[in-house]
Amino acid sequence: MIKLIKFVLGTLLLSLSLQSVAKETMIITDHAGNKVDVLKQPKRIASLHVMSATSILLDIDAPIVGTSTYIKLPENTPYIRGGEEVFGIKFANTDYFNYGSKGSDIEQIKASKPDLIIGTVKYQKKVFAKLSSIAPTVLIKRYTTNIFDAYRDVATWVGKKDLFDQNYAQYQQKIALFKDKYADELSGKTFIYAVPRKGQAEIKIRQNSGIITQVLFDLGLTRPQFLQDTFAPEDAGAEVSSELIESLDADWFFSTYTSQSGAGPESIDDGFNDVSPGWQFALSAYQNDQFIRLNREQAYTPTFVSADYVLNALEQQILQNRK
Amino acid sequence: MNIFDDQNMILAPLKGICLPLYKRTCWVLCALVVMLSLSFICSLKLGSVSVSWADVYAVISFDIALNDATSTIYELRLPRIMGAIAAGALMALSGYLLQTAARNALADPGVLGLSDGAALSVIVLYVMSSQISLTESIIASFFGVFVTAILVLWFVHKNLNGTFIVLVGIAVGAVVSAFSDMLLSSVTIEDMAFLMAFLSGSFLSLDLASASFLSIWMMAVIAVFLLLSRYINPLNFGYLHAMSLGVDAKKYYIFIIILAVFAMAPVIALVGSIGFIGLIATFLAKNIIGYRGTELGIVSMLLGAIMTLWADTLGRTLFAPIMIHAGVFIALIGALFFIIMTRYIVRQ
Repeated sequence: MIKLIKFVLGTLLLSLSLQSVAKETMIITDHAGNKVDVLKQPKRIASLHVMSATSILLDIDAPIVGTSTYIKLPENTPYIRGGEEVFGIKFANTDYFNYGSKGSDIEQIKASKPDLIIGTVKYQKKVFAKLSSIAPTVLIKRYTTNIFDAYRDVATWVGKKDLFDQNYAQYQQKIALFKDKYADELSGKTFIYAVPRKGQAEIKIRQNSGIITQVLFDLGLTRPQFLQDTFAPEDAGAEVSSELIESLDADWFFSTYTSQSGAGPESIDDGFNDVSPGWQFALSAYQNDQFIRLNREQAYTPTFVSADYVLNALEQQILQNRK
Repeated sequence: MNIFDDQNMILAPLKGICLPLYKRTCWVLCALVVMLSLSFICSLKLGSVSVSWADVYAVISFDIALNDATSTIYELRLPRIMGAIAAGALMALSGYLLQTAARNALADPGVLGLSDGAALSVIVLYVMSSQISLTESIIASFFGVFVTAILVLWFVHKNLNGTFIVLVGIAVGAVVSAFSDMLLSSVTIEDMAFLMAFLSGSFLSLDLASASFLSIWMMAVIAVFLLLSRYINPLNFGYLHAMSLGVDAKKYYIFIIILAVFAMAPVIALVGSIGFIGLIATFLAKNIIGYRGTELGIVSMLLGAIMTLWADTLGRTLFAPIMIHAGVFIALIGALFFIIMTRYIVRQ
């Protein structure tokens, strides 16, 4: 009997202490400089940017109540860009609230009764006060020089920092091993990540863009001279004339296609043929089989799963070239 | 205030408020007030979250025991609706006053470059300080509109021809807009997106305080407009006619331009650019009631309010959860309208 009473009391105390942890708050400073009082363990998180925030939340298994979405073509249905390709999550199979393309449906956000809203400085700065009246709201910067800084912050705000630290340590280990294993192909080498803009005679340089460039910089690859002369290290990148194709030569060349419109790897070559006929002769990376085509959604999302995707693609290409 | 037969037009004396209401105008005003009221109620009901008519009634009757539905209506929809009505009315009045000053049916805050001037001023302030408060944006907006208006007036002061004013306005607007684009390309992607959202003509971020401010501002502008009303009719006849009727035309043209600036500046600061509304509303009003000074201004305001309200309501419901800015809807309809009007004026 005494044991039973002890067990019941213990359980009661444990559940009370868990509840108090769940209701504990902390004050954090978001990327827009707002000081926000947030729950240490939020249970209903509204994510207002699918590629930057929802992906991270999925990667650390945080409780999402709703997300912004893209439109998948040609089906014209809401779609969790990045989440579908990286984690196989289809919006139709979830019970998430749909906040629209830029998380601008505030009525849906309110209806979802979140206890934390994660938006971006880019799209939600103007409506910060309105969102804050619904639930504590934090804004993240989409473009940071080190993408893991943003990831670490989000993980901290949703009470998953320990998991992030663990995953990040593993990632750093993988990077160190990779650098060591493929030093010949990586040491002192340069890379460019760029995509053709079909029909516009332009090539979009993506200098700091998602996990792909983060992984490549972490591997020790550097920017070629043209990028160093044109962009500051922290710049996201910009469109350049396709006439400059020869200036875009680098040891490694990465380009991506988007599955949002059902395109495949061949769309990259089609795009370059359109904006810069004869591009194959201008890029030594293409001639040396160091031109890598990736799925943009998988290569962009700031997740450790995507980091593995980029590393695997690079490793496969290196191994193929060694044969 | 008297009610006249349509056939017996009487010139109002140059004192007091001039609001000679004709029977036709009375009917039109009643119809527009009913339309605006119905639009207001429908807008409260429509949205991406469904609410009942009982919830709408509860909010209208100030019985706000806040449940999820009524708080959605009260906190999220009502500010947008109030803001849309006030902004539409103010922009329409501004357009009407500018048309009177320019004596050209194509004059409008957007066409004369004034909206671009306000936008540039807000962008400059943001680039200089990296952040911007509501008050600062309103002051910057006023400054931008005033400087642009002075610039346009300076270019045209020797030739107050209506077409010339519009052409100079378009040119000044293009130059100012180019400066804005250059400045936007010098800021970070995040800041650029913020500024573009700031100036996009959206009611998304309006809260009850901002919407109330716009509504009170609208009342104040209407009061000043009515005080100036006795000069509006003579000014509509043109400079010489107004002078011959005893109106110091030059002075009152400047007054109505200043009033037009006061009408539009806070709208640009709080909502962004919702161009063309002055053009469309005034054109429709002229076709409904004819050239009738003060009444034309009031009918234009009601039409502007109804159109802007529906642009916002459709924008937030038609493709929900995707939101289309009211400014986009109005620009789309306005551009088509502009082309049709130009053809119509050429035919006339």
